[in-house]
Amino acid sequence: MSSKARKKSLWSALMALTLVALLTACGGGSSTGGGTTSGTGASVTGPKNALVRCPSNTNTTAASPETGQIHLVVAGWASTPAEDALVKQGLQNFEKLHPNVTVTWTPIPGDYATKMRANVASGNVPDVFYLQPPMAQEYIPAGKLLNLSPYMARDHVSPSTYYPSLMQDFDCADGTVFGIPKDWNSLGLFYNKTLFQQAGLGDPSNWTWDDLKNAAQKLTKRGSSPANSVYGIALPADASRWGAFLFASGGQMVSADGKQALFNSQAGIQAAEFYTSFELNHTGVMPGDVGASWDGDAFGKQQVAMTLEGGWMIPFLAQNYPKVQYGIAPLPIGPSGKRGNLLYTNAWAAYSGTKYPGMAWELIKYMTGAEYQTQVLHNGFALPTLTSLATDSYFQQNPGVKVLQDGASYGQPDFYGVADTEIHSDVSNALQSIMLGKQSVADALNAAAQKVNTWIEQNVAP
Amino acid sequence: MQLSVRKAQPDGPYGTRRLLPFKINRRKLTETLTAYTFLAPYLFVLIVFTLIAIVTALTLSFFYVDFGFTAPIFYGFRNYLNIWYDLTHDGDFAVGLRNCVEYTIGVVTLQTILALFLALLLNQRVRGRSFFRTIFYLPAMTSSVAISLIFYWLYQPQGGINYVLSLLHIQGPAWLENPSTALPAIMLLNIWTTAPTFMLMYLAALQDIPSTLYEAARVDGANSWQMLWKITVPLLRPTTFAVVALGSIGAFQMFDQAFVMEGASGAPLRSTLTAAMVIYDTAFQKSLMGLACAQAFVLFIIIFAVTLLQKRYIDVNIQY
Repeated sequence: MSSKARKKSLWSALMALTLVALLTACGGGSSTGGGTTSGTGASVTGPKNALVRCPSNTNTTAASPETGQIHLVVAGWASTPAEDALVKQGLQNFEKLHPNVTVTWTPIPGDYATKMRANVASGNVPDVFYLQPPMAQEYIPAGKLLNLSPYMARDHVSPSTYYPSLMQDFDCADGTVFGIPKDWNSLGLFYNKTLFQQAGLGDPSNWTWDDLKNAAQKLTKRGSSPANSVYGIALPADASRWGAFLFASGGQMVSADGKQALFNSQAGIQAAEFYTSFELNHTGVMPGDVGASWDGDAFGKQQVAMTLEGGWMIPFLAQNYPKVQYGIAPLPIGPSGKRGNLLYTNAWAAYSGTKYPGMAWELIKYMTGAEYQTQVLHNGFALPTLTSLATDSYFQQNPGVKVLQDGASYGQPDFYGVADTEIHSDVSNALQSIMLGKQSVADALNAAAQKVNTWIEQNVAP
Repeated sequence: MQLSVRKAQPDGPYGTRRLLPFKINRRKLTETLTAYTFLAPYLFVLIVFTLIAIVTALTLSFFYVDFGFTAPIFYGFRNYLNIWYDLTHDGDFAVGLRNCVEYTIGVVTLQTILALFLALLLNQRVRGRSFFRTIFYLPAMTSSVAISLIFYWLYQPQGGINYVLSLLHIQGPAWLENPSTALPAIMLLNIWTTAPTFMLMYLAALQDIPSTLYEAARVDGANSWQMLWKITVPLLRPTTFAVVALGSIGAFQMFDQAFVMEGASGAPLRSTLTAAMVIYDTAFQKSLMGLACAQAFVLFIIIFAVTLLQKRYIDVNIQY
C-alpha cells in the first residue's frame, strides 16, 4: 500500500469519527424504507431473502450501455490456473462483443473478502466483482451494489432463468436482485467402487441413513494403527458438511430472520448423533486421524471408502489420484424421508458507484449467460447456474456431475445470515467436541446455540 | 544533552539569529532544535503510525464500527461490557487469553533457561565456537511462516517426529489434531526459534561481567557451580529481565505460528486460539472493528501489567 493510500484511509477514518455526533441522532431508523423498486412494475424480483435487509436508497432505473472508450476493472479470485484462464477467456470474448470496452481482470490472492473490505473503506472499488454470500449480507443493506432488477426487467432476464436456491443469497428481503450466481457446487457421496465391490456393496443411489451406517461398518478394516486401516467414511468436524444432515432430518440452522439459532432442536440432535457416530464407532474418521489434510486426500489415498464432497473433487482426483475408481451418489435419505444438501455459490455483482453501470450489467449478463456458462460446465470446473443447461449433453457423459447438479432442487445455501461466521465456527467446534468425546451431543449443541444467540444479541448493529 | 563542542563556542553557528520574539536561553534552544532535527524522521513515524493509531484505536473502542458500510455508532462502554461477558462466560477471547497465559509461561520459562544454557556453553573457549554461534542463531533468522510450515509437516501423524518415535517403538500422537498436544507443539517450535536471539543477549552480558570477580571467587575457594549461582546469575538479572519481558510480550501476541499451523479458528477445539487471533477474527472476519479495538486494549493492559510485575521482581540492580 502506498503512503498516499494510507493517508487517505486515515483521513476517511478521522472524518468518520467527526461524523459521529450526527449519527447517534439518526442511528436506528433506516430499516423500514427498504425496497423502493419492488412495487414499480418496471423491475423483476427474485426469491425473497429475509436474511438481508434492502438498502434504503438504490437505483430504480436501468442505464443503457455507455458509448465511447470504456475501461472496466473486474475483481475476483482464481483458485487454479485453469479457472484463471477460463475467466480471462470469457472476458476476452466480452471485449470482442464490445470493441469500445477494455477489461482489466485483477484476481485477488488470499483473503478476498478482507481485501474487498479495504477497497470499500477507501472508496476504491472495482466496477464488477465476485460476491460471496457473507459479503452480500453486508454490501446490500449498505447500498454498495448496483440494483440489477431494473436491468433484468429491461432485458427480459427472468430470475427463474437461474436456480432460485442459488439466487436467494444475493437478493434482499423484498426480492430485489443485487448479484447473479456465477457458478456453484453441491455435495455428493463419493464412493470408492473397488472397495465397494470387495465389501459386496451395490449402488448407493437410494440409500437411507441406516444403509450408510451399515455400509460404513462393512467397509471398515482396522489394522494395528490408523495408517494401515481402511475406514468407511471420512467426515470432518465441519458445519459445512453437517448442515446437509441437519436439513435431511428436517432441522434448520437459524430462524428465518437469522437472529436465533435453531440447530439444537430435536432434529439437530438426531443429525449430530448420526454424523458423529461414525467417528465414535470407529467406522469413520476425521481426515487428520489418517494423516490426510482433508477428506478428499484421505479418499484419494484409499484410506476411506466414502466421503461427502463437491465437484472440486473431480479435477483433484484426476490430477492426484487418477487410479481411484469412484462414483458419485446423491446424499442418503434422512429420517424425515427427505434428502438434504448444501449449496456453495458466489455471484457476479457491480459496484453502485461505478461510472459505467450500463456496461457493467452487460458484462454480468455475458458472464452469467448461456455461452460462458456452457464453457464453465464443459471445463468441468463448476456447475452452471442456468436451469436451461440442466439438459446439456455433458451430463449424459458425466452422470456423477448430473447427481451434483440435481442437488440444486433439494439443497439449501450454506449461508445463515448475520451470524454466519459465528455459526460455522461454533457448530464446527461443537461437532469436534462430540467426536473427541468431550461433550454429549445435546450439551455441545446447546452450548453452541447459546453462544450464537449471545453473539447476535451483543454484536448485531441496532 | 552535553556537547563539549558547544562549550568551546558559546554563541554557536545560529547565535545571531532571533528565532523567537522573547528572550530564552539561546544555547539550550539550539541544542533542543538540533536534537529534534535528528529525531524528526523517527518521531514522524512514531507519531503517525503509533501514536495516532493508538489514539484512534482507543476512540474506536467506544464505537460500533464497520468501515465503509455503516457509519460508526457510539457504544459507550458496551464493547468493554461485551468483553467482560465473554471473559466470564468462557467466550473466545477468554479462551484466547487463557491459552496465551499458558503459552507464555511455558515458552518464556523454557526459552530463558535454554538461552542461558546455550550462552554459557558458547562462552567457553571451545573449538569452532563461532561456527556453533552461527548454527544456533540460524532458526532466529528464518521466517517464522517457513518454520511453521516445516514443523506442520514434522508434526503430522505420519511426519518426521512420529517416524523417529516409531523407531523407538513409541506410537506418537496426532500432534496438531489433539487438543492437549496442539499448543505444546507450537510452544516447542517457538522456543526453538526465539531462544537463539536471547542467547545473543546473554552472551553479550556475559562478556560484561568483570573477570576479576571470578578470580577473587576462585582465590576464596569457590567451585564453578557456586560461581554460576553467586556471580553469573545475579549479575545477569538486568538481562534476564529484558529476556523475560521481551519474551512475554512476544508470547502474548503470538499469532503467525498458530495461524499457519491450525488456521484462524484455533483448531482443535480452540486449543490454539490466541488473543491476537481472536482480535484478527473480530476485526476482519466479523467486521466488528470497535470490539476488536477494545479487545486490543484489554490485551495491552494485561501485557503492560505483566511487564511491570516482571520489572518489579526481576530487574533488581545488584552491585558487588
